[in-house]
Amino acid sequence: MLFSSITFIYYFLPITLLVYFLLPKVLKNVWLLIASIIFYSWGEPVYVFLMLFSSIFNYSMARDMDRERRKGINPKMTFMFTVVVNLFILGFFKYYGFLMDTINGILGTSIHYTALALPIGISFYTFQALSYIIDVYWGNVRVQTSPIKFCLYLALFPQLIAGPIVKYKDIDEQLDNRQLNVEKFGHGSIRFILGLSKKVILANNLGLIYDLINQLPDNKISILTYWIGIFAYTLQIYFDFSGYSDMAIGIGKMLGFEFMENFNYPYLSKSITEFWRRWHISLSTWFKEYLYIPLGGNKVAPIRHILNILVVWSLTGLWHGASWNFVAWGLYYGILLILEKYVYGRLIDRAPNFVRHIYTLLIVMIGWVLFSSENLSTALSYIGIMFGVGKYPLMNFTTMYFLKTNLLLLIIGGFVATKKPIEYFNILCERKRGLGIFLLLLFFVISTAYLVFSTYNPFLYFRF
Amino acid sequence: MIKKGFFVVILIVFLLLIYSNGDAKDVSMKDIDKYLKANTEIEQLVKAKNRDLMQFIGLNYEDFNSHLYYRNVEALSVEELLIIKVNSIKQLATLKNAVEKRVEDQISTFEGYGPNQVALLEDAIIKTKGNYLFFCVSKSADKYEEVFLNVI
Repeated sequence: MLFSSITFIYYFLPITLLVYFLLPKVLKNVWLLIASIIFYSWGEPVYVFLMLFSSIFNYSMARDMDRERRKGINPKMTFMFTVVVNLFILGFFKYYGFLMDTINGILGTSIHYTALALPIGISFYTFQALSYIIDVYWGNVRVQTSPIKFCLYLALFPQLIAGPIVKYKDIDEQLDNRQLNVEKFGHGSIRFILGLSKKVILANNLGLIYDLINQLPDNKISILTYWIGIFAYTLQIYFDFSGYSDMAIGIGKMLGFEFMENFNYPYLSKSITEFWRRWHISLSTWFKEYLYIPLGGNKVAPIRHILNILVVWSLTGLWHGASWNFVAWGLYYGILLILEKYVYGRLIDRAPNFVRHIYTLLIVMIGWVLFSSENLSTALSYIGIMFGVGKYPLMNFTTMYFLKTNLLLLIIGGFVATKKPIEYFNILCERKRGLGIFLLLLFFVISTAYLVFSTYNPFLYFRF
Repeated sequence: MIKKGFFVVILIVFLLLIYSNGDAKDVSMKDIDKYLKANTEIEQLVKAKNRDLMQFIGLNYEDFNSHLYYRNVEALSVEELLIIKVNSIKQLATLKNAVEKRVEDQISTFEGYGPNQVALLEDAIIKTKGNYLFFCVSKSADKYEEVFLNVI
């Protein structure tokens, strides 16, 4: 089920919240688990069993590790087994087709295989399960003895299918005790509406620009049009994914949970290093805690450090998708981070702020070409045109058409990606609460109207 | 150890079931069309144009390998049959959600004055197999589905 759908907003969420608040505390977790299973099975009636298997399996293995440790046995074997099974499930659904395509491509064979549809959210909930198993193994968290609470941790519907990737240690206490009050509910509702508006009003419309530009016939392509296209996508993916995270965090607040922030105005960054501290924070911190630091982090010789960065970023790319362009996208950032660390980082630090902003945005936009393209050759062709490769003019009538029809949307998008609008909104809510509520209702009504009349627009991160 | 073995067996059985159920032959849309015409009364519906896929389902036909789209063009009819062969399995999730949205939209359109249409929509069949998506709203939806599954 989509957050940005009439069924979710007008049926599922109100009913879930109403029953949740009416039930006594002891039954709240049970109800949330039931609601989460209904939510997931709405779109994945078969794969819900896989998600439940993952929950029961990881719960059970963690308890086994705990028992072994108490008996004085090293739980390493159980830990390794659990990690391998988790990675096998993820690999089977996500990378099997990619592996077979690669083998067929390299060997020139045509081995028949059935590539299976990717279960929604598998990358997110598998990483959550792994964070729990690793933390139990390291002794960072107590083992969860209630199967209901553990299954709820993995299946909790606000963050189940597109994050934020909630680490068990961050939510352990909240599974038992969480604060529910009107103020928190109100903040959650505001966050949800703002996230919905980002997705429905901004991301979907910006996405149309990029889609149209990508489908232009050869005689209508120009260099500037392609820059407009990738700028629109740059804004689209931010509003799409951060909008989803806002909705997830907002629903979490309504239910009394506090999830970690997933975005911190990434396009205000002044370096790539800073960008990755602000973009998809829950994934970056996951890789940092469970892979980069165990590999030695930066407390090793430079060569080993460079290798660590490349390993982490190749896997970050692969996490996003089973395709070479995602590997290239990951390595692209890995190499840039190495360059910032060892080659020109100090030079950037000394440059004027506007130069640093432009440098970061340019690199990020080129990165999004790799990310959004069907394959590597399409991406390279797009990048080539952006930099004048081929016979394409700097601009043409199509460029003017896109500018005339979308300039306002692009400017609004660019402005909303900064901190200012939310700061103004908060000031407005403090001084003129009525006007603030009116604006929120207006956003909500416009978003609903878009949902009723527009075609289907899934979240970009659902495919991961 | 027995518990670990039990989990592995459950997982393997589940994956085998999913895998065998998801397998499909590589059949051209032309052949599927031929079988449907020979074994069902599909010709009572009208074959839709490429751009109708965008107009009614919100999907660009150029994004997929091939498709077959039949509709009943009467204003008060909700009958339609759509089969899409995708280029990449990754497209199936998006497609599935798009047709679910189509069903939701149609239900909200006919709710209140078209109980027969709503009943048909509520029984819509949405199925994915291999590289194909099958979507059908019709009194004969089961028959269409049976023929489609036999072909692939």
